[in-house]
Amino acid sequence: MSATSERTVAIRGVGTTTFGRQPGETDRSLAERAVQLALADADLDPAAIDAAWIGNVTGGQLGGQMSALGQLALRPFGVGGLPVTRLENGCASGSVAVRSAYLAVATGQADVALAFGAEHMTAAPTPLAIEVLAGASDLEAEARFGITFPGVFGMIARRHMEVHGTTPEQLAAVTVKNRANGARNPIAQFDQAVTVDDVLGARRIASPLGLLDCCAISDGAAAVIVVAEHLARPGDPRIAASAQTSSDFEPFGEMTGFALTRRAAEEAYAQAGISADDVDLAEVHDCFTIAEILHTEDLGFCEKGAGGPFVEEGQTARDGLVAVNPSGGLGARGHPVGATGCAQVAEAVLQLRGDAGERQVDGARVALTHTLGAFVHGAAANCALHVLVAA
Amino acid sequence: MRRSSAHPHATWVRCRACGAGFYPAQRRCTACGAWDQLDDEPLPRAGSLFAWTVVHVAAADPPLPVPYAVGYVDLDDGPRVLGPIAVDGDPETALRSGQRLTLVPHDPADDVPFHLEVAA
Ligand SMILES: [Zn+2]
Repeated sequence: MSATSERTVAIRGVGTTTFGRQPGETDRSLAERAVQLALADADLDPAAIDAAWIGNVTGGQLGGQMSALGQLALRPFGVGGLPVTRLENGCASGSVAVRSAYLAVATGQADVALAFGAEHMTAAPTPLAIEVLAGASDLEAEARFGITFPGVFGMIARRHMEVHGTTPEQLAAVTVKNRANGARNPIAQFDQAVTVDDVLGARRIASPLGLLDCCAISDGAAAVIVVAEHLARPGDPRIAASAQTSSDFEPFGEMTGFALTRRAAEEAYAQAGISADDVDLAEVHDCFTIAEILHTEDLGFCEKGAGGPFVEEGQTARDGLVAVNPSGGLGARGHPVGATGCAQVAEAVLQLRGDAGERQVDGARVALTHTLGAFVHGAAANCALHVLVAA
Repeated sequence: MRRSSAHPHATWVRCRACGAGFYPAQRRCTACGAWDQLDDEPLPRAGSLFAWTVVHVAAADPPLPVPYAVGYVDLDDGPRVLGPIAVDGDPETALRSGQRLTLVPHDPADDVPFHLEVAA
């Protein structure tokens, strides 16, 4: 399906709150802050917003606000009356919010569309948060047997090791890189560098994965303001591609990669008229170390099975062949699940504008964001992918 | 965690029209498009371990004592299913991929439909 836009679409402003444990906040208060930051970045009045989508996954179960989170978070801005939609697509919710805003602007339904995402997860006991997140698998056939998300990716990691010879040290190299990047990102949840030995020595969560192979429960929000070309300023990056795929429920196959990522990438590269080689930086869904290795393969940055050596050799470092997760990714920036897709796009925008400070990727012209959501029958259920290009 | 299944424990469905099987159960045959031709059948009782992990940090529900092993098993002439794997001793050293496992159905009143054991 071609999604070539009728109108050129740009991103005029982004805002991201601090990520990590924030006891005094709620998903609603964090969302309000992210929108404030994005409006200020865009230099736009709130009244300019024509429509809004908010990504949020756990708010109903962990916080109790089942509905109206978006409307309530926007109430302080005095913009009642516009269409506001809460969007739940697992951990890809924020990315699908960006895609919804993109489609609204591309088709002329809106000139200014707001995509934001928020999650407040740390107030809940960790076992409850794990249970709620496990609800993003098939409850009938998976979650009720005791599988957790770290468990799912533990199985995938063991498969990748058995089939492709990936090593624990190569998994650890993902965390070492992402924590080093996070140390340069002022909003990151984790700002301390770690070593390969730290990762290998951490307590086990779901074998073969340990604590430092896993992203942490987090609080945070991010917002992205998508505009039609006539409202873009010089320097505002353009959305060159937006793709969304679901699991096709094919047999599991080798369980060492995600077909839906490969299909989304193929579609997005065609829309943007680029190949994987043209991507300067990618914010990818590294919910676990093994996940980032799979994605570098499935996005075409290296051959299937070569993702372990690829990260270990530094090809995904900030100054490598393709900078993967220069923000620190889910592992270091943090993963307040509904906010993640918007935070990835916000990082891409800062990089393409040259505003990424100490973590700036030199000469960044093409950025990719990749988010997965939910996990059913051996594969992710949702994938959303965007390609952004510098002005 | 509240969801159960509309179908009996430890079953999958097979299409009367074309013979295709599906797990978990559904009402439409994906292979031939037939509706309401799918009959519950017991899951095969033996298979080979495809992928596995040992969970050290569990969810609040199901409240399983850690560590515990979970894995996907390729049932003989059947589907690939996920289940808890009961092992003697340390699960990290008791399991290997490809190992033969037995599927043990549970009582209909049990929340968990079945578990897996290392084959005798
Ligand atoms: Zn059939």
